[in-house]
Amino acid sequence: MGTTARRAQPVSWIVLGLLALYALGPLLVFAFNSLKSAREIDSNPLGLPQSWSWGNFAVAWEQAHMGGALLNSLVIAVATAAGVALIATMAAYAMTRLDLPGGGAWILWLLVSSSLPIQLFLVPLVSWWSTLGLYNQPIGLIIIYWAVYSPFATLLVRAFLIGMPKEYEEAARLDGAGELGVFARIVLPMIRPAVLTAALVSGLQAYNEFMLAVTFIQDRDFQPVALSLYSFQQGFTTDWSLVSAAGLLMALPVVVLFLTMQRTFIDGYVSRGIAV
Amino acid sequence: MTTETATTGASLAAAPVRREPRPALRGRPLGARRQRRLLAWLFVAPLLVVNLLVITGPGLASVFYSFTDWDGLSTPRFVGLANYAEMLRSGAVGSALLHNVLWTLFFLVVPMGMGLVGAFLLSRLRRFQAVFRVLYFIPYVLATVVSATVWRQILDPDGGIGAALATLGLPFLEDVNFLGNPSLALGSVAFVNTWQWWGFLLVIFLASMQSVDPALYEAVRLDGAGPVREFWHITLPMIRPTLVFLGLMTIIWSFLVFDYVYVLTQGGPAGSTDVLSTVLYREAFQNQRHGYASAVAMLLSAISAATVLGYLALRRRLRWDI
Amino acid sequence: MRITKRALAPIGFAAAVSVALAGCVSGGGSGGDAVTYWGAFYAPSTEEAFQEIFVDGFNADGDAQVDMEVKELTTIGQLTDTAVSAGQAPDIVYSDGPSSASDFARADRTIPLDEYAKEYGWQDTFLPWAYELSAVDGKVSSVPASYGSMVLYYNSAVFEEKGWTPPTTLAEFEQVAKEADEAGMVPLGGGNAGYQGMSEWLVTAVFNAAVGPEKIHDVLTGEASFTDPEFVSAIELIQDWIDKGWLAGGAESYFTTDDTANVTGLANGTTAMYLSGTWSFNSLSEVFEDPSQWAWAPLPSLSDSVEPGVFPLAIGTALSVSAYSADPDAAAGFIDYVAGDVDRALEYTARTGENPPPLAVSADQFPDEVDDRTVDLYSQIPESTNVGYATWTFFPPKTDSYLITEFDKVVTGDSTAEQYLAGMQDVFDEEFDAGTTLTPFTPQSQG
Repeated sequence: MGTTARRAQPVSWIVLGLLALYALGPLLVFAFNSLKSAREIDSNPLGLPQSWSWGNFAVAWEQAHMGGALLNSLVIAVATAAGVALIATMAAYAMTRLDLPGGGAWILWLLVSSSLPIQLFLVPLVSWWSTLGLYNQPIGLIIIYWAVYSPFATLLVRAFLIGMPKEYEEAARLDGAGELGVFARIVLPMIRPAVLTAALVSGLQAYNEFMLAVTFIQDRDFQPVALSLYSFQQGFTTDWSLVSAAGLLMALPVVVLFLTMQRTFIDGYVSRGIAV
Repeated sequence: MTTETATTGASLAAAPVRREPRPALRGRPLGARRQRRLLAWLFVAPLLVVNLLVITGPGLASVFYSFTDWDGLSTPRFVGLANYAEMLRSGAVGSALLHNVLWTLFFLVVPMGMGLVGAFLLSRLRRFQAVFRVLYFIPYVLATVVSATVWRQILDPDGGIGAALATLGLPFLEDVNFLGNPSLALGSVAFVNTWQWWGFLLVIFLASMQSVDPALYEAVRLDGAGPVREFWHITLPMIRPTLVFLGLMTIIWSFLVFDYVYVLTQGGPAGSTDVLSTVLYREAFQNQRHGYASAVAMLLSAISAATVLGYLALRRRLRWDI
Repeated sequence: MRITKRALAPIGFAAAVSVALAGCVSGGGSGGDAVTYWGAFYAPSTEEAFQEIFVDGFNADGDAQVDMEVKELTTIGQLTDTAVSAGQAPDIVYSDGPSSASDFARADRTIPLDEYAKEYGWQDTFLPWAYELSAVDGKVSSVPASYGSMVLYYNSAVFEEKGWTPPTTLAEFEQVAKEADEAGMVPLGGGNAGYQGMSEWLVTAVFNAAVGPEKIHDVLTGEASFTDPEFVSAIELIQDWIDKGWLAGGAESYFTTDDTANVTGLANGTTAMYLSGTWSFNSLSEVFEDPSQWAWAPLPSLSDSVEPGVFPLAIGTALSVSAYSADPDAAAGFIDYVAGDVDRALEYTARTGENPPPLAVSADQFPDEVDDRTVDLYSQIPESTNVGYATWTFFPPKTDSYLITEFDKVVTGDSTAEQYLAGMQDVFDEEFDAGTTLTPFTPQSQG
């Protein structure tokens, strides 16, 4: 495997250690914040908590209705991930394997649509979504996420398909397999890591997204957990200790997921590199 | 890379045996081609539909609105190119654009550089690689509002890192107000955003580097090359596709940057961290000038279109296969 | 690379549909029988009290039903804007003051309420200045549901320890500030981190206390100008505080201090005074370890021409009825239920500390549970003749937006007081000529 044959030098360890410090330092501050009182954050911003307020987690959990919100977010993130994966894989397959006309125009279109500020479209979208009966429905929000996160995912999967040899598919076609059969049985298993990566990235983004969620979900029973972080305000004053506690509770499932799915997630980007 | 995929590929590669040359195409060539075409459009249809509905459709509506004076409530009034003329004259848009350009340069160099170097060093580690990788990536999964809060504390002039270092006898950052000083604010916001972002780049680079054929490294090592030369002569050229792809995305995302600027400084102090999207946001939602904001959005798309077209031309000229 | 015409065709179609849909407005905010209301609250206990007193009470009292969706205070304004623009507003439309309410009314997104005003007798219920503000083109367009003012906050324990009394004049104010500065405290809290609008709290307080209500009235009615020397010296006063490091501890910290830090600073004794709105009553009680220690005083006079104790008046919430409401009678009925009844409104204030609607109230009408500091405030204001104008309530929207955004440059020193005010006058002139300014009440001291 790779370059591991050579032993790492002390300077490497120093650089990696400094980078780890850069990543870890603020995470520690964050963890401490969740255990302080709001007043202590102001008087003792970086130090260890003087009294460890474990109760913050219970208060945050209750006050922001996090149980239900986490469940909503889970549904939204999974549906977004699955939908984006499907949409992106099919589109990428059409662009690389099915003689879809257009060539570079597709890349141009996908990249330019990733550069549009979606906040400007809120008014027409709300109006349109209510006409279609999608306003204030989780599925309405999910469809918007599909649209917003699929361009990057499509380019990612497309890059993998370009790098992948076509021999297997052609052999299967010669064996009389239909196009759908080739797609489902030959291509999908081979690019599984790329598809999973696209799914995870979009699921993660949907999980953390705020602006679209707050605009398109009015019913509190459907609200995702990203909105919970805004429940600790007394007017203009914010209780940052509770925000941190809720933020930690919100991040925990994602970190656990990433730890367990590390291999898959990382493998998705590999292989012949990524092409546009 | 990954044993798992490699084996899947290998077993498949072994399986097929060519029996007859191209029976499907020889049978009914025209019909098959048309069928493929139809299937292609069917496969791209979901992407097309959601994108037209949510992004391209309203995006083109914004083209229309960019020629109007519209407060979001009453009927839009056609004003021709007035919004564009005002935008060209506007000092706010000009300085926001400059900040976006600086931001882009910063993100092309600093987070990309950190990701590259970090990934290169990690790829040479035998142990603890997974630990570092997870640690570097965790900031990416945190919600913006949470990490912004933490960084506001760290950068606070009274109780933050400057004061902490001063008590340790290193007073060089004492009383530096990173977010409150107009000449430091933009860099500080970029630094905070880097913290959250570079781990994502590292993970992608690392994966890309691990797919480089180890034999190539062996070859230069026989020539007596050190790690620096290995990096320049093998790693960088081999991961070029990834590098180009992420570079392109970095440019496009840098012109769209909003979250961290909005949460940390809202474009202040005195506009010193204003970027195009904060200007757009302010014009649309505080000043109720949706027409003018649409014109700013057109500028954003024009920049990204120019970037992509430039890339496509470069690709053709350099004859990249990717 | 080539872009085929065929590839562009569906894009053109989608654009056409999208323009058409954005332009037209589909009807009906409410699906069922109940009218909808979006509320936002300072705390869960406040929400509970609102639900019990107003929503459950209204639903039990009559046939009409109301259904409340809870939003966050920081987002409800923009959410409502988006929903109103898209024709999807709830039946009862929330605005954070009469100026956005009047925008909705002018665009015919909300309906005139004159009939209901007559039916429920609103003209006699509300304080005259607030009632006058709700008129657009001579028609009642919204109902004020809460009002407040700007005051000077301090920590009574700290003031006692230092031997200070709340200042009433500029000289007293500067004396306290000077001593606080010498004691290593931040003399005057302030800042705009997290919410740029905090700048207009300061400007409102200083304009009213240094320029005075009469002069502000004259500018708002087009008879004076922001460039007049009274305004210039008011802004220069702020610049002076910044230069001395009194305000928020200096120019740079101004941009990194948020409301939380100021309130916490008062509680911890590191900040001496803080000019802020009466909406802070709740958060102060929350943050202070001993809630009895926070105290408010009327604004001091900051120039010779203004009497001490001016109360700039502000409408925090205005309610109107959506033009797309299927049941406007029920919506108006709910608005009256929330804002028009003294006993019910004070019961809510008693339980939550929320600012009450601008109703004519005297001290003995307050239930016993109401915090004395709240009773003080809301019995002093209706009796005072020294009342002024909060910028977010009385200034037209673009002027207000300019006032907030450009104030940054005053703080950094990039703009002089004259430049800042000349720009403000330019923006105001435009809005004044367009006829979108509100009618300010006549200063009561002028009769």
